[in-house]
Formats: sequence, structure tokens, C-alpha cells
Amino acid sequence: MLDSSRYPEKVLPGDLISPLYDIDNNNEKIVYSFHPGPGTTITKYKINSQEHKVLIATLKGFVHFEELVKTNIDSEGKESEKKEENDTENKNKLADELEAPEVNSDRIIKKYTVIVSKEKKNEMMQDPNLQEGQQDEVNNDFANNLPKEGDIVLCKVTRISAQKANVEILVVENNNCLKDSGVGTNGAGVSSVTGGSGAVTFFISQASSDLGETFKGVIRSQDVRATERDSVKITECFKPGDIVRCKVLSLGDGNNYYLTTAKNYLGVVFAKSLGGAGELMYAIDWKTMIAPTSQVLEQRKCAKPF
Amino acid sequence: MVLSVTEKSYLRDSLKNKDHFLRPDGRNYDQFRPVEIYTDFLPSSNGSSRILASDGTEIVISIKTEVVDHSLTKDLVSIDLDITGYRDDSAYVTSIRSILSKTMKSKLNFTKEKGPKEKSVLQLTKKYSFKLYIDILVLSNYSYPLSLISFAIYSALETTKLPMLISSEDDLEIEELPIFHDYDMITLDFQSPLIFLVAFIEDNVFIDPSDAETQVANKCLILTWFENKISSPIRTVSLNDDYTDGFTLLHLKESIEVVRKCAPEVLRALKYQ
Amino acid sequence: MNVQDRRRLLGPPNARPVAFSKVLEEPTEISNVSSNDKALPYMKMGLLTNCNGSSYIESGDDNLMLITSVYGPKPIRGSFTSKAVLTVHLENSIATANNSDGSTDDGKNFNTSDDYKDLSFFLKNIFDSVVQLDKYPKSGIDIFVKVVNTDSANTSNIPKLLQMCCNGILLGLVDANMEISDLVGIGIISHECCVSFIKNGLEMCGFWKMKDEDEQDIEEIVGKCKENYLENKYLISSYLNGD
Repeated sequence: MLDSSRYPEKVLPGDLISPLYDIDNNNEKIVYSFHPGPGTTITKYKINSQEHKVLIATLKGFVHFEELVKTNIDSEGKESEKKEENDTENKNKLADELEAPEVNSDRIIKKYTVIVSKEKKNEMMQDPNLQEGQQDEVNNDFANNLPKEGDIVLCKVTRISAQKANVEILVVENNNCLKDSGVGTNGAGVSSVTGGSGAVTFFISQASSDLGETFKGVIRSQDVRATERDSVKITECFKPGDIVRCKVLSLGDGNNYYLTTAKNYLGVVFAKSLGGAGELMYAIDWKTMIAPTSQVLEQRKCAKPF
Repeated sequence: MVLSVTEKSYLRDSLKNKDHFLRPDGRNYDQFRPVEIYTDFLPSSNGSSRILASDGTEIVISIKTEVVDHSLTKDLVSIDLDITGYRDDSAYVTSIRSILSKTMKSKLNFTKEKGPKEKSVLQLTKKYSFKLYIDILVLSNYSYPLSLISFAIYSALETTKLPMLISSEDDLEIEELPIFHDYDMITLDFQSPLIFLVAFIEDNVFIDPSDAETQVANKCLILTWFENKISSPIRTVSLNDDYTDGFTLLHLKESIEVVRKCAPEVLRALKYQ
Repeated sequence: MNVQDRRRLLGPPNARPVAFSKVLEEPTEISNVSSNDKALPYMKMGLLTNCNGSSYIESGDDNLMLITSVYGPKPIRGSFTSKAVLTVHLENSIATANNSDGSTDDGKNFNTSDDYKDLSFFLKNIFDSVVQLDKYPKSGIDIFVKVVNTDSANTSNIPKLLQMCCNGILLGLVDANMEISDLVGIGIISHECCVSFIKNGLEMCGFWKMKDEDEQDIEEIVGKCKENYLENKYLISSYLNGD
């Protein structure tokens, strides 16, 4: 187990946390390898014309070390989907480790992600029953949860056409979105009055200083499901107002993130019947939802609820 | 021209190495791009110049003067800058304009003789002064134009012809408007400051970066050469958002050295034409 | 303003901002502070609620007061940016109020809008090097610094203004929980020269010298600024740790 008392507990931006590799005090065979997580970054220090790479904090808060468990990534294909969901966050970091030789000598390499967050360590570890990587409360201290590749996001459908469904991203799953993202339609968002980056673009039509300032996404018809991708009819999958669980494919273009629902656990999670006028519906199979009292059946691409 | 990520990384790699330093146009770290300068071609201005850089940057400068009562007018220099392709209120233009006008103002107040005879270069009589209007038109802009603008101002001021005063210089006692000679002109006894741009990439320091070079440079340093020495303004400017590493004292020292080496040669070239 | 006011935030076009008359009576001087120890700046984070982060800073020795507000990261539309676009706007409410009275600036005072834009540009350059822009793709981060009070005699002290702005923005960014790679700070040596440092003074990220003074070696300037920067950084970090 890593002796975290060797490293600073409370940091300010710019403070050194640890080198990239360190050796255990008691057992020289154990090598710790540290990876930057949220709130940390790698920087170079030049001392006596020799460059040293170190991890530094970029946020004010407390340092946590989270061990990366190898077993999670042993057989990615055979993993249960449930597990995959939880691990998406780690996957990016783990992916590049896969290429590195796991054991290059008789030394044991232990990998840790270093995180800086506002909460203290013991407060974060309240519930031992929780799965790794999940906290009992949504971690809302990162203003830094912009959707990135591989994230699961919850979106609201704003517009549909034959080729695609336009959505606005409300929240990144397991994370809090910024307080001003996702509330745009309520008009409670935070935005500066005078220009700002909205005025970066020269043209008024492109200026973004208006209500509804959420990150936008698009689900193209070929990204709706994994099979029979060419015969997808968007109208049979989504309706405006639905809340959809999607995965981020890419950062997309200037306007939209590209999203996909081509997984069992992705798709519509909440929908109201009769174009939003009816009641909340429940999924009965992967492409049908039912309204419990009126017995209205509607077609959707549903997410597996369990 | 905006470079792609690959182009940038290629260019940066060739510029950052101390031993195999290679600029895209094959220049030395202390070598300028060739420029062409034409002067005194605008008949209705007191002085004018046009500068053409090898990358296609073209700047036209016109200098006009007016006789003003300097107790009423504080600013004896007015600079108007127009850069094609940029809004007048953009940070790019305002920053250049602000640097230029502060430089010109402080340098034109410069006096060689201290004491009771002290007067600014532009002072005509005890009451009246010349006011300079410097209109800068950057017709085409392919690299940060500050350095070239300062060269052009230098050449324009060298050829600026001012009417010769024939009335008395002391007009405090006797109210008298300045009277000028009908056709004799004098030149302004003033050497305009030259502004140099030095770019930093890792440990390397080089002068007069081209557009592509500024896109991969960490920071650029603006240095001024005036009265045969390094002078202010000295300040940093970032010309891209991608590379933002810091710099050290060594960079500053080296850039001062390279300007010390280059500036007299540039000055000689500008004088010769 | 080139952006349409579709939110009706600005009120009717003929609206005039509230202006307060100048205080006539002389404020009573409180001189308990012994002149020996320098008055420490007063700092406060998170005063404003309608932005993501904010700070208020009052320099100890002159009456410079600044409010900084940080907005973002928020989505920007238009062309794709893989990094956040940072903007800094510095404005002096007092200078503009004075100018609208028709009083000309006395040549020494520093209050033309060009000069403020230039300072904003300089500050933006500094913060471009510390804010982790690549963690915020497709976003914009807007920083507004407003000078709410200043001794008129000190408006020409640009380095001091820059130093305080830098501190204010830094606290605003920390309050907004934005990822920054260092507590960047500005060290000043005189009324005309300042240097901004990162990594405890190992590296610089900005240099500002607008007027000539007595002959000074560049090494001496940097050294003195570094001392001042370290003092300033100590203040900031002790404030952040104590908070």
C-alpha cells in the first residue's frame, strides 16, 4: 500500500505532488508509477540543465491516490456491460498502459492516479460498499467535467430530422456539469453581459451570448444502434423532449459533439407519450415504451434500464 | 497561413534544437529578411515611406505636421494604424498602436541637452510646436508588423521636410505667430527608435520571426533600439495560443545581445537608402 | 457593442448608468498603521454569485480596488477549437467616468481605452501560460477585471495595477476551480517595470518595461522583481491556505 504521508496532503495550484516514479521506502522492488488525474498535470522542471518530469497540482484541494486495478482491463471484449460503464473513465488512461510492458524485471509496478479535489480523503471514503470509482455523492467540485471522448452523457433531444437527432448535453454521468451548463433553457445560466468569448467570433450570428448556452450534440442515424445501421428511422428512435443516455464519440465540429447510442445500456431513459403531452413511459423492450395507465405504445431506442 | 498540427511540430522541432537550428528560409538566428524601402513619394505629406518585406508585407506611412500651441495640446504625436484584415478595436491592432504611440511619445520628448535650453525635438518656438500625425497603413500583413512599422517610421521621419522658421524663437513676450520661409525646408533632427522582435523557442533565441515561426514560438520579446543602445519598451508578447512555456534570464540576455549585434547594421542599411 | 442584446440586459438604449456625485467632505484620515510595515492587501474570494468565480482585492498602500469575475468554461460556437479561448477584459470605471466629463488626460495619466486593451492583452498572454486550456475543449473562459477605485495619482503606476490584476485574476480562477498550472505572480521594481514569474521564479512568462529609467542591468531588474514576486506569492498562498 502506498504511504501517502510521504506526499503533500493539501496543495495549491503549482505545488509539486510527486515524481512520476517512486520507490517504496521499505521494499525496493515496488515501484510506484503515478498518472495525472483531474486536478493534476505533468510539468517539466529544469534543474542544472537536466529536465525532470513531476506531477503538480492545478487545483486547490487535497491529494488522493487511487490505485488502478489491472483486472478491469484484462479482457475488454468479454466484460459485462455494467462494468464497462463504470470503467469508461479509467479506460483512456489504462489504454496507453496496455502497450507498456507490465513487468520488465523482478520489480512490481503499481499504478496510481493522482487526483486533487476539494474534499478530504476520509470524507470521500465514507461508504466502503460502493464500487471503485464511484462515490456516494456526485463529485461536484470539478468545474472541469466537460464532456470528453468516451464519457457517458445525459442529453435532451431538441430536434429530429431524417438523418440525425440534435440534442443538448445536460450532464456528464457520475459527474456534475458546470452550474451554467445544462440549465440554459431555464434562463438561470451564468453568462457575461459584455461580449467575452462570445465576441471572439466576428459575426453576430455566431456570437454565443444568448440563452440556451449548453454544449450541443448530434446523434447521426448510423450511430443510433449497432445493427441494421442503414435502415434506422430517427422518428422511431427519438422524439423531441426525450432524455437520452449517450456516449461521446468525438468532440465533433465547432457546434456539436458527436454522440452514439449503439450499446444496450444507451438510448432513451425518460420519455413522455404523445409528444410530451402524455405520461412518463416505461421501456418494455429495446424498441418499445409503454405509458402505464393509457397503455399507449410508442417506439423508441430504449436504454436497458437495469 | 494557419499551419496544421503536424506542420507546427515539424517546424518547432527544426527550430528548437540548439545544434541543428534551421529556419524555414535558411536564415541565421541574427539575420533579417530583406526589405525594400521607398521614401518621399506622397506629394501632399511632409514625409512618407513604403516598406516591402520579402514575405509580402507592405506598409505605407505618411507623416503630416501641424503647428500647435503646445500649452493647449498635450499630445504632440498622433498615430493612426490600420491593418488590413483586423478590426480597429481588436487586441492585435490596439496593442500595436498602444506600443507605438507610447514609444514615439516618450522618445520625442527626449532631449540631448539638459538644463535651461532643454526643449523637445518638435518644439518650434517657446509657444508653438509641431504636431506629428503618423498614419500607418498595413496593406498586406503576413507577419507581426511592429518591427517593420518602426523601420518605416524611421525612414519616413528621415525624409520628413518641415518648413523653416524665420521669425523669432522667443515669442513669449511679444505675441507673434510663427512665420516660415517660402520654400526652404529643414529636416527633423530626430532618429526614430527601431523596434525589434525576438522569438524564443526552448533554448533558442532568434530575431525577426516570420509568420510561420511566430506560430510555433513560445514568446516573443519586443526590444527597442534608440540612441545607440537598448531602450524601452521592452516587453513580451505572445503571438499564438499553442505554445506558452516560460523563459529565463538567459533568453533575455541573449535577445539583448542579438539586438545589439543587429541594430547598428539595420540602422546603417536604413540610412544608406 | 457588436453583440445584439437579445437578453434585454442593457435596458433601453437611452438609459444612463447610475452616477454618484463626488464625496465632498474630506475623509478622516486613520493613521494607526505605522509607516514602517507595509499595509497588506485585502483579498476576498467568491463575493459575486452570478459568475463562476470572483475575487475582490484591495491593495494596501494605495487605494486600488479591483473586482474580478471569471465566467466559464462555456460553449463557444463557430469554428472548432481544441482548447479553451481565454479572454481578459480590463476596464476602469473611474477613468471612463472622468473622460466622459470632457476632461482631457494630462498626458501622464493612463486611461485611454487602447492602453487598457493593451494591458488586457498582456494579462491574457500571462494567463494563457498557466490556465490548462487543453482541458477545456470547445469552450470559452472570460475574465473581467474592473477597477472600482484608485488614487488618481497612482493611475500611471501600471506595474502595480498589473500586479494587482494578476492577483485578482488568480484568485478568481482558484475560486472558479479552474485548472491552473501555477500561482503566477508579477514582481515590480519601479513605476515602469514589472516581470511575471512562474515555477517559483525559475521561469518568467511576461516582461514589461515601458519607460527608460536610470541604467539598469537586466539581471538586476529580474532579480529585484523576483524578490518582489516571492513576497507577493507568499501573501497569496498564505491567504489561500488560511481560507
